[in-house]
Amino acid sequence: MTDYSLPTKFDRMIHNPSRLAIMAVLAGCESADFTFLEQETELNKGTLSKGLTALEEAGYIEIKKRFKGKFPNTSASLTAAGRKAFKSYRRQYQAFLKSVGGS
Amino acid sequence: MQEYVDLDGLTRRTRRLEFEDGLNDLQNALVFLLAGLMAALFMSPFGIRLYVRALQENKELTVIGLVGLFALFVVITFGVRRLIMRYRREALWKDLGQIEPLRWQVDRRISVLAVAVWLIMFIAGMFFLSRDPMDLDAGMRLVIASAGVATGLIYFMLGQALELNRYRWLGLAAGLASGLIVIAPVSAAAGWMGFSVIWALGLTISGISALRKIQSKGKQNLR
Repeated sequence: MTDYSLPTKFDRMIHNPSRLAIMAVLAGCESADFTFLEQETELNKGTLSKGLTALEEAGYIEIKKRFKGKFPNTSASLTAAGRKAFKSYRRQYQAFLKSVGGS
Repeated sequence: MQEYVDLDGLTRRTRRLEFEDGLNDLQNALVFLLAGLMAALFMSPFGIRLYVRALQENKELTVIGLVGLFALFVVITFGVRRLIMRYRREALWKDLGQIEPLRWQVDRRISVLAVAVWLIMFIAGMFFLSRDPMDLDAGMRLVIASAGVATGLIYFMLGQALELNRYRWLGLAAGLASGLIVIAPVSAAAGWMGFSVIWALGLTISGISALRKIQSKGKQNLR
């Protein structure tokens, strides 16, 4: 019988859908600001903010706050550990999909 | 947000943003054209005569001139890049949010493969030259053609990774066309010029088509 349960080795910090979306967007660039992340992940400001904080605390992303002209601007980027963790998660996720017959 | 996260889709969309406006293509077209002009000049009989004469007259000044020319090339390349990024930040990406694109968009394995293709053809060219040293142009054409094939491979694979059809076509068409230089009965200088014109033209067409596409959609609908 096929086992559809998630492998326990999945990184639970990344596995959460909102944090996963943030990581997936950041994996495609060096850094992205809050507005871009909000639009691409389709998360609301609160959830995005929470996700960013959790990932920063886990050491997966780095957050920079600065001013652009008169306006505050927050940008995030994956750390080396975050990029490595995301790559590993992606590999496991693809292997899992393959094992249950998904694409 | 939906519960299912399209991992690769999100990463790909973000990576693609840098290429969707076509400005990168126009910048690279300029780089190919300038590099081709410089290479063709230094390899043409006129360029070699000029270089030898300049060396005989003033060695230091010639070296300074060459370094200056190279520096100008670098300044133009990076200057245009900075202008493009500024235009994106202030106009194109203003409502979309800002990103800093990846420094290395091409997968490391693809880069290694492209360098390997180039190197193998380069070594074959050198071998060919050592057997028939008089035919310098034929050996150089092999080096030029291999650079064209390797560049085509990089663009094609980038098109595959980003699901950008225009890069798939550019890689195939310009890679094949510049690969054909190996059998063209032309001098090394003309070969370099042909290589740069093929790529500059291909990239200009690709860039303009992308620009027209986003203009027709409106920059707000860049995504």
